Formats: sequence, structure tokens, C-alpha cells
Amino acid sequence: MGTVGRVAERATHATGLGSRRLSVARLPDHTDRLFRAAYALCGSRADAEDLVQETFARVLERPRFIRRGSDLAYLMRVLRNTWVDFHRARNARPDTSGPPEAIDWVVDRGGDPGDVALDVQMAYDAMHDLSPPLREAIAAVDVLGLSYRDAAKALRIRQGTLMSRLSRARERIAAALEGGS
Amino acid sequence: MSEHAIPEHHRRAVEALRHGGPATPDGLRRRLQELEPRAPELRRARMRGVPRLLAPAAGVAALLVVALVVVLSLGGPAGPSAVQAAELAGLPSTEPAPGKDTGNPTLLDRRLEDVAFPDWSKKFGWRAVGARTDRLDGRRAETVFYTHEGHRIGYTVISGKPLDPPERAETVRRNGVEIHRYQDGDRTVVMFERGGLTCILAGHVLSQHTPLKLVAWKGDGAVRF
Repeated sequence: MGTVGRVAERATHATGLGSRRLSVARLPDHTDRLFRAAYALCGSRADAEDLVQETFARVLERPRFIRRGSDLAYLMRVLRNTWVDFHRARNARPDTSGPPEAIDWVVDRGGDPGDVALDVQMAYDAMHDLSPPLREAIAAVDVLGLSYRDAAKALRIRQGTLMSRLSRARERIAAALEGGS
Repeated sequence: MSEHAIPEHHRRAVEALRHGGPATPDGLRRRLQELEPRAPELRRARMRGVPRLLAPAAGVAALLVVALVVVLSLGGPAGPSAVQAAELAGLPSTEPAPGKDTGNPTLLDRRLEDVAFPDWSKKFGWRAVGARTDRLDGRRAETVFYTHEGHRIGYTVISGKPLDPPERAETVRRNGVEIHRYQDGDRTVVMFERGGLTCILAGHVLSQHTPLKLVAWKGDGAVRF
């Protein structure tokens, strides 16, 4: 964590109702999760970097009061909207994909490096074959770690729709892992 | 997820996604850290947006501004500073990477006026990964972003009269090209001219010689100065 991460949280209690302004100092805490979610959505390291940077830039240029504990849900919403904008811009231009990018894969503390490490890359690869709505659902819940309720709100869909999409997404990734092992 | 039990046959997929993923590149962390001090500037930039209902009034205002700019420009040159222009290289790309120029393998299919962006992928391994277009004090600025081994640089070309380099810049000459170089924190910035336009290359690089080597490359004469 750099200097930004060491800055104490400067939460502004503006309304006294549990809402506060999302602090710049808290953004680095979410970088890793957000980068993974961005990569899950767009499937390219360079695009994911741009997506996260643009998401942070949008959050900084539009300071919002959000409920306690809702940082990630708000970031997911902005990330998703930014991705939609990127997607639109890219569809308007020819695809100029280059050679494969080097990605370092990591397994978090708590995960079994032996069992999980291989699955991680295969799972992300399988995610790129999902339709965008399924990708958004699984990125919000399984990658970013949002609750069903927060994920549904962030994606502006009903909770039932989210659960249905999540189940289909997990089904396909599980099948890919079974097929690959 | 405690709210609903995960079916056994989904567990392996869920565990993989929850406990691992692609590592965040160091270059991205640096770029995000650079955003923090620019938060007020980003907010001001947003205030420049005009609501749709005010568009007609904005049109009239724009004409007045144009008239004012014309009047002011008679009194002397105005424009963005080189430091402001170099900031564009630190922003995210908003457009996909340009493709190769089908007519010339050393150029990309993107240009501002007569200045085409070089394709450094084959010669140096720096691959174009995105682009953006901005307006800086009324001037058009085109930027192409390149990456190589986790490092990222932005190459910006700005329309209009050439900008003056900052006083702290040192001037060097490589391959017949006059280049102004300075450090902005841990970013290296180099300025030079091509086709009468200011070009700026800025970013994090391992060696300070890298930007000089890149900008002085003439691509068998296709990268014109």
C-alpha cells in the first residue's frame, strides 16, 4: 500500500444517518478486488487497468455520499457503467487485439495454493466465454464479494435476476473446470 | 455466501474466484496514486459539462468565448503549458489501440494533422494499448498509450504553435532530434517537435535513455520530424 493507503480514513459524517462521503484514502483498499472484477469483465490486462483508473477518476470527480459499508457496491456500479461506455466505444472501432499479455496470478491467504492456483486461471478464462450479464453477476458476487442484495442494486437488476444469472455463470465455469481437470 | 448455500458442484468455481485472481500491476497502483492529488482538478473538469437544457445558452456563450479568444490571441500567444500537456499521458485511455498503418509497418493508423504515431512494437516491444482525444485550452491533443513489461507511457501530440519546454528541462540531441527532458516526480517527460507540432512522451520507465531512444527513432524515414 502506498502513501495513499497510509492516510487515515477521512470519513465525513454529513447527514448523521450513516451516510458519508467515499474517502479517497479508502480507494486503494479496494484496488485488488476492483482490478480482478475489471479483468473478469473485459478479459484484458491493459483494458482492466484503464477501466479501474477511469472508475477511480469518475469517483473522484463526482464525490457522493454513500451508506456505510457500501463502498464496494458503489465502486461496482461505477465500474460496470464505465465498462459499458468502454464497450460501446470499442464496438465503434475495429478490434486491434495484440499478442497475449503476461498476467501474474495470485492466490490469497486462506486459499489452498495447490488446489486453487490452477483453477483460478481456468475460471477467469472460462468467464470470458460468458455473456456480459452473466459476467457482471459473477464479477459482482464471487470476485468482488458483494452480497446478493448489494450486487443486485449495483447492477440495477432484481435480486432474483441476479441469482438466476449467477447460477448460470457458476454452472458454466464449474463445467469448464471439470472439463479442464 | 451465508445468505444462500452454494451447491456442491459450484463450490470449486466459487472457491477459485474468491481466493485468487490476476495480480494488480504495480504500474496501475502508481497511476492511481497520482490520481489522488488531482481530485480537485477532476472535479473542476466535471463542472465544465453543461446540462442539455442550457445548450442554446451555451452555444451563445461559446461564440462569445471564441470571439474573446480571437481578440486575446492578437495580443500574444496563449496555450497550455508543457506540464499540463504532459498530464494527459497519465490519464486512462478511452479508445482502443490504433491498428497498424497498412501502408507503412512502422506507423500506427492514427495521426494528428501530418504527425502519425509510431509503431514501436516490432523494434522495441512497446505495444499500443489505447488512445484518447482531449482539448487543452482549445487545442486538440491526441494521445496513444504504449506498454512494455508492465511499464506504460503516453505519447501526446498537441495541435497549434509549439509549446515552450519548462525551464527545468535539459536539452539533448539524439539522431538529429532536439529533445527536452525533465523529471516530474518519478515520471520521465520528454518534449520534441514533429511537423511543427509539440509531441510529449511521459511515463514510468526503468531507464531514462528509453524515451530518448524511442522518440529519436525514425522508422526508416517514415516517422517524420
